[in-house]
Amino acid sequence: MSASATRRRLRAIAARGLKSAPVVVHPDEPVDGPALLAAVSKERLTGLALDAVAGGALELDPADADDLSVRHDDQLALDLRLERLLCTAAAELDAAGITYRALKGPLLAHTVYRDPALRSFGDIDILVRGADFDAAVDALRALEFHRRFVEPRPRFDARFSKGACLERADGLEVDLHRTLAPGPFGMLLGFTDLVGRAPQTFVLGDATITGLDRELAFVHACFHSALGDYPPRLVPLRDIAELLAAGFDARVVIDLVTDAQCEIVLQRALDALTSVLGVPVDGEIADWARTLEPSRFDRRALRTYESSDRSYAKQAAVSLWAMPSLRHRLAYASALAIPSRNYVRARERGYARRLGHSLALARGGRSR
Amino acid sequence: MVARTSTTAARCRARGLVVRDTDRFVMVMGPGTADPLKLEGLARAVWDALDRPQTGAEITAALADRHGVDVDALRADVEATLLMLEAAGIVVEPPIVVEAPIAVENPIAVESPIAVENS
Repeated sequence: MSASATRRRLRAIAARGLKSAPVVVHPDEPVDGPALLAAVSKERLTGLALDAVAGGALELDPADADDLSVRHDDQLALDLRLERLLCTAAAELDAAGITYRALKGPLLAHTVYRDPALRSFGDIDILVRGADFDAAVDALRALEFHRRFVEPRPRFDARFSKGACLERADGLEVDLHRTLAPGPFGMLLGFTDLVGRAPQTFVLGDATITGLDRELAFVHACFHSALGDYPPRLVPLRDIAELLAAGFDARVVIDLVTDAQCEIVLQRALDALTSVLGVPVDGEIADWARTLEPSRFDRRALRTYESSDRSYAKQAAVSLWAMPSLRHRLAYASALAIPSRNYVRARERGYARRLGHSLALARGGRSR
Repeated sequence: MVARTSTTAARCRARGLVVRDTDRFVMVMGPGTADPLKLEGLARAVWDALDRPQTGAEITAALADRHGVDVDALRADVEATLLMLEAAGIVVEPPIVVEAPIAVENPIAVESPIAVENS
């Protein structure tokens, strides 16, 4: 089975049960079971794949079917460890007086999917305000988490980054967010008080977890799909479809992304939902998205997220133009151009190499 | 003093568990454990029965009745399963509930005695 045939089957699995045009899978095309299952695990689609096998939509030989069951068991065990971690992390943040919002995996598994076993995840995502970011890192240190990467300068992540990845010796990770995406669109959305909106709560064990409200969860799923990996990962697209089916206030979403000047991200995500999973989008949000024309900035910013042209330096350069003032731009550029000694030692192996990156940043950010 | 065994003492699910319930099994993780426990077969049947507090004897009787097997043949396996679930911290004795005195929102108004003037 070719890579494209594997991808087609993955798309069919990710679209399972949705109101979508069926992804064309040639029934006579042989299934390379091990390759397909490796891809299913990587995309965290084991739950939907098992559902497809049970429903007769995916045929696997007995050994591959057993392998899929084992993979799903392993994934569910990870999901539960991560949910337990979310409970303890939420308790630490509450104790430190930090307002947080749970994002993505557990939130969507327990609030929009018909069965949480269909929505697996690989880490825990938590959003806090920039002003609380460093205190949140300190609070999670009590659970033995530490930053995977050194930040360029103290408080850089709290002011400018998407967030920071925190890891622990047992391999579990917390993705602590300040905003919902890296690069220029994440920067723009980060000027909105995302944590200030009324939360959606769900219960895990004994804990009541506060998560993003439905509208912002939809915006986040769109950001993840449109600005994450390229080509887009399938689970975030499925999340968009699940959120559309669950329902939300489209006007709130439109106002939110219009205020943040990120409208084009939603258009791109909805296009991907239709082209990749075959899910038609209609209603107010689709009518609105169809009328959008990307600006020069939108086109330039979107290019920095595409794999052929994707780089941290290019995203950083275009992010400069998403800043609200010259003061912000100077602070951002100087932190990247002259980072701390610790950062240079950890990431760049010397200031000379760093200078090359800074020049690339300057070249990339010259015009809007 | 007679020891309280799971045969005579009720057991229930512990609090604070995170769970995935599938067609094939239930996966459960307690607050104090590093790894989830996968419950299949009899363990799952016992777990399902503990959706309310029950003694081992009650669970055994119900399962024996449902599956048409001899109670005596099942008792030891149910006991062992309950012990295993208890050791894993996902099954406990039900907490003792102390009922609070009923608060009276609107106490009966006591009318003030009618003053009877002595004429």
